[in-house]
This record gives sequence, structure tokens and C-alpha cells, in this order.
Amino acid sequence: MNPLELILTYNILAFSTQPLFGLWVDTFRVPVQSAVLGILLVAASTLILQTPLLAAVISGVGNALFHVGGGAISLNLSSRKAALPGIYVAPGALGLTIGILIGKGGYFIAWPFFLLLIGSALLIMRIPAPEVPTPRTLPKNLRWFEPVILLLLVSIAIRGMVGSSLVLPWKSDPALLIVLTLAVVSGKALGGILGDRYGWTTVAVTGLVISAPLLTLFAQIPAVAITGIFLFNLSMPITLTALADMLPGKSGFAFGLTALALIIGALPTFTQLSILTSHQMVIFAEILISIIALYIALQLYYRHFGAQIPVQNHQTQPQVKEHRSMP
Amino acid sequence: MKTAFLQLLSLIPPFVSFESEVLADVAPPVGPLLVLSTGALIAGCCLVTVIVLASFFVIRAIKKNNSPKDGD
Repeated sequence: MNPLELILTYNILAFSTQPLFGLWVDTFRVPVQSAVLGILLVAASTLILQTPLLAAVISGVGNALFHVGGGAISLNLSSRKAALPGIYVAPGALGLTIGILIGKGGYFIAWPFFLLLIGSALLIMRIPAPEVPTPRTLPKNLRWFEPVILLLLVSIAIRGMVGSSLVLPWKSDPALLIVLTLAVVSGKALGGILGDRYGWTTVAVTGLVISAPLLTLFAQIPAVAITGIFLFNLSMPITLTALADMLPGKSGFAFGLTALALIIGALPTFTQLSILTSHQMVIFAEILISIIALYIALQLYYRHFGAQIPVQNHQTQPQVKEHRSMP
Repeated sequence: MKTAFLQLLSLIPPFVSFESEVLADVAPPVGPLLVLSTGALIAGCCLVTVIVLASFFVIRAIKKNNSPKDGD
């Protein structure tokens, strides 16, 4: 098995299995256990690098378990806001960049990472399991239930395709690569915060609209492309939180669905179709489709699922129901 | 993690490349190019397809569980 197939194996296991693990997390209410088990599996994979395929399989499964566990926790704690989930997923990009630079440079030594992973697992185990909020009740008319979910996932899948297809000629410069990565991190982290404050549609759709020309026409200019990447990532926590809100009580499954959508969008880029998907105008069209899908999804969501929804308290207090309108 | 990881796939080591010329910021090396075998791609797509179908049925079940029952 060549390295590209190893990467594909890892990606498919790490992303596409998340809905299944997410269901397990939701059904048995074990997000902390899932996250810890995931970390332990990834730690174990650092010890079997002599068998790359096994290491890729174990680390892929471990990655999936960690992400749905932590994702479920962030969504359960978020009170249906996008800030926390965005902050949860954001730092991963930085870790990946550092890991790739270390790996490509030949500097990887397993035992420090093994110890760090074990340490983080122990820390997570000491954190009290968050209280799972009472799932909200969906409205009686569910005619638009599947279309909203499908449109959100289409938007996410296309973003995954764009992310895998973008050609940024200057990316081999380590300094620019770090800045690019920080743009990804800050985009995801701030997208939820800004969306909760100024409106999900405003932030997510506007970010994608502005990013389209920046990423297609000015990809060769680092400052412009990096700005475009930042804007492009603003929508990520918003789509995640909206999807989780459509699937009450299934936050792990919802988190996993977004990962599944991403790998579906990225799979064509592993084939000769990457020649097509990386074309400037095709990328523009892809972003445009993502914008349309996301806009329609959020409009349907607000109109049929988001308005006047009771907000339940998590603590065991007399039920205080208050209504708030969604951003 | 997600989008960023997939974006960073273009940093695949220089001895890996696609079968034919690909727009890339890293020039392909001289010598035999590594390719994605059809079998690996089919296996991956099959797994993804199965999970997509399973997810579809789960979503339908969630909708059914949240639908108003007869008499409500």
C-alpha cells in the first residue's frame, strides 16, 4: 500500500465512521469515554509505525472516536449556540500543520507524543461529565426536516471539496503555511462567536460570498488568499450547530454527519477528478453552490425550526421556559 | 480539524502524486509515480456508501420519532 492509499485509508476511517460512533455516543451517553478511548488509540498508533497500515487504521478510528466524543460535549454545552463548537474544532488545524511539518521534516519521535496524549486522556477523565441537556421538541410540521439537513450537508461537502482542491502556490513556504493555518483556526473559532452575535446567515453566507473571488481570482497573493481562507471557514461552526439543532439529542451523530459530508466532498480530489475540481472557475462554482445551499438551509431552518423554541434549563430547577428568537 | 486536514492533504510527500499531471504547488518527482489503486478507491467508496445509507435511515427514524403520533 502506497502512502497515498494510507492517507486515504486514514481519512476514510477518521471521517466517515464518525456518524456511527456518534450514534454510539448518543445512545449510551459516553462522550467522555469516547474521547478518552480515541486518544488512547491514537497514542497506541504511535507505537506501531513499523506497520503503517495498522497504524493508519488505529489512528483513524481513534481520531473519529475523539472527535465525536469532544464534539458531542461541545454541542451539549453550547446551549444551541455556535461559539463553543467552533472553538472546539479550531485548534485541530494547527496541530495538523505542526504534525505534517514534523513528519515531512523527519523529526517525528513517538514517545513525547505518546506521553502528551496519555496525559491529555488522564486530564479529560478527571473532568466531570457534562450534563446532557433535555432534547428540544421539534415542531409538528417536519416537511422540511430532511431538506434542511441535506442542504446543510451539501454545503459542508462542497466546502470540503473546495478545501481539498485549492491550489495555493506559496503554501510551501513554512511561514506562510503557519499564517494560513492560523487563518483556518481563527475562522473556525470566530465564526461561531460572530455568528451568535451578528446572525448566523449574515456571518456564514457573507463570509462565503466574499471568500469566493478572493480564493479563485487572487489565490497567488498570500495576503488575499489567507483572508479568503479565514472568511471561508467562518461558516463551519454555524453549519455544525444548525445541523445538531435539527437532530435533538443526537449531537454526536450530527457531528459525525458533518465529517462524513466533508470526506464525501474530498473523495473526488483523490482521483483524476482533482484536475477538474481544482480549476479556478470550478472552485468558484463550487463555492457558489455551497452559498446557495447554505442560504436556503438557514432560511428554512429559521422559518420552520428556529423561531420561538423553548429554552430549557439544564439544572434541576423548576422548569423556566423562555422563548428566544434565533439569530 | 476537518476542513483544515483535507486542505492540508496537498502537502502529501513529494514522492506521492496522482496518476497524471495535476496542478500542484509541489512538482512531481522524476521516476515512477505512485497511484491510487482502483481497489483502494472502490473499497473506500463502498464503506462511505454503506455509512451514508445507514445515516439516511437513522435520520428517517429520528424524524419518525419526532413526528406527532396519531391522535395528537
